Amino acid sequence: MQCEKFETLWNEALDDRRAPEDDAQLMEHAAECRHCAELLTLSDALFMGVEARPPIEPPVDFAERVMADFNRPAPRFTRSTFVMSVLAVAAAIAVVVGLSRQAQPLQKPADDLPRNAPEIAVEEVPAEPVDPFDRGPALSPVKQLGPVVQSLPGFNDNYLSVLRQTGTAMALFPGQVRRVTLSEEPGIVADRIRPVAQPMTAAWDALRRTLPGSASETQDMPGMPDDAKSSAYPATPEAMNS
Amino acid sequence: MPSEDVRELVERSKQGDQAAMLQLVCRFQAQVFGLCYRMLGQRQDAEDMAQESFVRALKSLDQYDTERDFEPWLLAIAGNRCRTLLARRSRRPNTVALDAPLADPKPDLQAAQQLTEEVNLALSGIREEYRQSFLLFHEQQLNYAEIATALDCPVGTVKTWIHRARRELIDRLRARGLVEEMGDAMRKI
Repeated sequence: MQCEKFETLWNEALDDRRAPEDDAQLMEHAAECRHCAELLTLSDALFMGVEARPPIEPPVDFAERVMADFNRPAPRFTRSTFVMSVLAVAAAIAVVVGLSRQAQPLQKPADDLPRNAPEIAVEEVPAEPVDPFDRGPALSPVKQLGPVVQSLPGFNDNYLSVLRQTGTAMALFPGQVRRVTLSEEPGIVADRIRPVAQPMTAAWDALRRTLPGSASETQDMPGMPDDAKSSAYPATPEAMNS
Repeated sequence: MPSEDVRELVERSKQGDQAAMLQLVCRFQAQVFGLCYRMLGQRQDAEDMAQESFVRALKSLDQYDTERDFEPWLLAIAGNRCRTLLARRSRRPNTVALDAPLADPKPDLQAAQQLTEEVNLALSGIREEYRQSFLLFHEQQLNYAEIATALDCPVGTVKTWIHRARRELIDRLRARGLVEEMGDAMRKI
């Protein structure tokens, strides 16, 4: 038997809680090998020394102490819970501050309009007494519209039409209603300008009354088909002139 | 599967029976305290951790699977507590000299005491994992699976540690020249 095999069998005997001396193979090899015989001697000494160590006994009142500890009410605030609470509050504050910063709107231009868009002059509507005999706003001279205005996305066709015909119209701005007039160079109109129904209707009526043979009422205007509108009421100045 | 009496003690303890809890503690206090002492090496720390382990176990009995043995579950809790304390200790400067030189043997020392001191010296010189697993197996009589649960490592690792511990302890005793000396001492014992 090799010495490595001896050590393996010696470990197996100890793993099985058997005395190595009871193993015939081990004793046979130990009789021939001094090194392994020493190992057996030292092994005996080792385990005798382990057994001779004083026993490890818990205190006599250990169980009672455990039960007293078990029945003790949990402390409201230990050091660790205090630290955890402080950390939790700090984390919550950090989250709230972070969210509020994200929720802030982008910086707006001073005139509340996008840049490069103030080509339409805006003026406040003065408070005027209502004249019961007023036939509506006078028809302004037709002004040439630039191609940019006509291609604006999202702009109400009727509103644009009124604006083209009268040169002025009411528009809803954020927080207020203002009168909008076309400038000589219309340029780009802000998307947020939206027509106001009643003033636009009145302007439309005024426009229709100036046209020859247009005695019909305006109640059909909102629902009027596009092709009918375009045929009866030409939308462009060129069409009107022709 | 726990024995019938342990299962009954656990069931009664779950219902708040303090007498059953007390019996449960008395039944396993030697194993838990022995584990803590072997892992920590200090009696006061071992008492504290063993007590804390029992309190935690009693408060967590609802999480214990009654189909499995109670002792490994309990030893695992104790092992966790000891590891936590050891990790905390490792962050502090170590004031305990594990390799303290053996005091000069007095002539009147009994052979058994001398042998024990030699073994203690040898034990103090090997790796902590080796020493813990060796003592839990040979002194506390825990099996490999129980030690693996308590130390939170695979059974194969425990086995390797114990084999290496035996080998190193034998080598240390041999280096101390105890072959002949221990032969005489053992004959006296």
